[in-house]
Amino acid sequence: MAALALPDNCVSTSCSDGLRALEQTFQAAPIGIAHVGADGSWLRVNQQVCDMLGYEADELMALTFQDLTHPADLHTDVGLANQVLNGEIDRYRLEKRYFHKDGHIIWANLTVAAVRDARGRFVHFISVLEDISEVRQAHIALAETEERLRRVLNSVVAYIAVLSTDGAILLVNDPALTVAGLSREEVLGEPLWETYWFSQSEESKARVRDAVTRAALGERSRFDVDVMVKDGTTRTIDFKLVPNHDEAGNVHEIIASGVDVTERKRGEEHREMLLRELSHRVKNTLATVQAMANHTMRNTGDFERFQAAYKGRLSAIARCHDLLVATDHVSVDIRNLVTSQVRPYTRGDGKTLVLEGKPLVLTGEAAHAFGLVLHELTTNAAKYGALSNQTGQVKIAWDKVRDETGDWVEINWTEAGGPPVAPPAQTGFGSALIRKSLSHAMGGSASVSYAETGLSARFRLPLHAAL
Amino acid sequence: MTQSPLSVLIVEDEYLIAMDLEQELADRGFVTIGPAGSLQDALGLLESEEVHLAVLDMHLKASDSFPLARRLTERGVPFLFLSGNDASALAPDLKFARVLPKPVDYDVLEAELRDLLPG
Repeated sequence: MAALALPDNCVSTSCSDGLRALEQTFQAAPIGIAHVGADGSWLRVNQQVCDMLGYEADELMALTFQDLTHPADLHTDVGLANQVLNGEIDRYRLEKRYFHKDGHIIWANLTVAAVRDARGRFVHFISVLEDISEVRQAHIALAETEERLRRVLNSVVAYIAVLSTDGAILLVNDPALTVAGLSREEVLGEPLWETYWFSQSEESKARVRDAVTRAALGERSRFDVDVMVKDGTTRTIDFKLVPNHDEAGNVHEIIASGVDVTERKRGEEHREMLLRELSHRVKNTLATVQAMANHTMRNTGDFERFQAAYKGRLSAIARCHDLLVATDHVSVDIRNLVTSQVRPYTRGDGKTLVLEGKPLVLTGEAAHAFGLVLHELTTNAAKYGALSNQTGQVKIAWDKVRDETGDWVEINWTEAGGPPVAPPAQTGFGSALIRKSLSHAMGGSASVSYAETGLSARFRLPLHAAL
Repeated sequence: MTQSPLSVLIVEDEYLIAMDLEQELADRGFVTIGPAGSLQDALGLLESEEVHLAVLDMHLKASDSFPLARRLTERGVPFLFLSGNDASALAPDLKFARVLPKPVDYDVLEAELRDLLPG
């Protein structure tokens, strides 16, 4: 063992100079130094120890290190000290907690060795204490920050991954895994484009691979791409790649993120479809109105008669439209349809109109076509038939029927109590519409008979015209 | 010099519009065929009648009228679409076709129809 030899001429004066120098070193060392007895009592402490633990030296002399040690570290510390005491080990080092005099915790890096006499007998421990509370605090703060970031990463609605510059997945958040039913182990280290998410098409694989290559060169990119989710369906995500630069300015990793925009995309498509549909309907309605005007013009000799007939027909179209808007644009209850077209022309005593039939809902197209037929029947009845006097009655009955020609919705219009009826001498636009419009494109039929007691008409619409 | 009148196949599912077209084209000297309200009826008329020209609504109740347009193309019968949609709703192979918006000015329709004929 190497040892420094004292010079032969070491006399008491120079020795006491040396001791004074040692004492100065002990006190001035920028680290805590203490002598501690076999029982743990503080024997000698320097100012650093006092400053660290918040006690005066003489206060410490009355205490043991055990008194000031955090219970969680006590067992380890005492155990190690005993091993040194018994000569099993020469020294130990421990990061441990002390209680400061005011109660707060001090983290210290403790190194302990034994001082022994010439015969190897234990004299005291020499303990070196370095206050590492600040470092510990910084570690804890860092861990807390990391934990918080991890929680943020796993709580956002976005899918997030960190990639190496060659596209391997280094980190991925829970939502990205959950949505696809993947485990972290399955995807870590895999190139992003080779994963399940992008397995539905070669095109999106190639697109992601290309974007990663460009991101590694410093280029950001953002585009919509379809990804596979756990039930084998696809969702559209707004996908973004951002290169992350190190201090030297080189790309060292790539942040990939995506937000599910499937609903937004569907919403946009739906809105466009509705707009196209609306535009189509409006133009068709205008064309119908134009046709109605032309027909009415051809069949009425003068402007006054045109105006009266046209106004009635235009309102009939409007009433059909109102009913469609009031529902969902695809269906109309036949009772509402009949009431809205015929009631305006009745006497208002509640006896003119008899309706018979179970609830039956017509498609929008059938309701529109049949609504115009009802209007022509009604205006004819108001001019010549059962709605033209005080005693007439119109009965409208509907039902579903089946015969060898198929399944039908049958509607019977029967007038009674009006003036005597004769077949018209010439057929105008109205009667042509009544007889032909349901067979034209609806696949329906109409028959009209002019009994002297009153006009009656039977209409059939294919059952698929009802809902 | 006499010229035999041109026949026009009318395909339109809205009864009112179909009747109006029939009347207006008849007034302008065409022989009208139809009006057909469905693709089925229209294809039948194309087989049984001599058709020089055709006016097609793009969307019928149960289908679009594109199969008929293709049949007319095969036979070299000129046609045009009359529609609430614009040309963007056409099938890709029918993009060459003329589309007149509804409601149509009948004088324009007549001129467009006569323009379809060679010479």
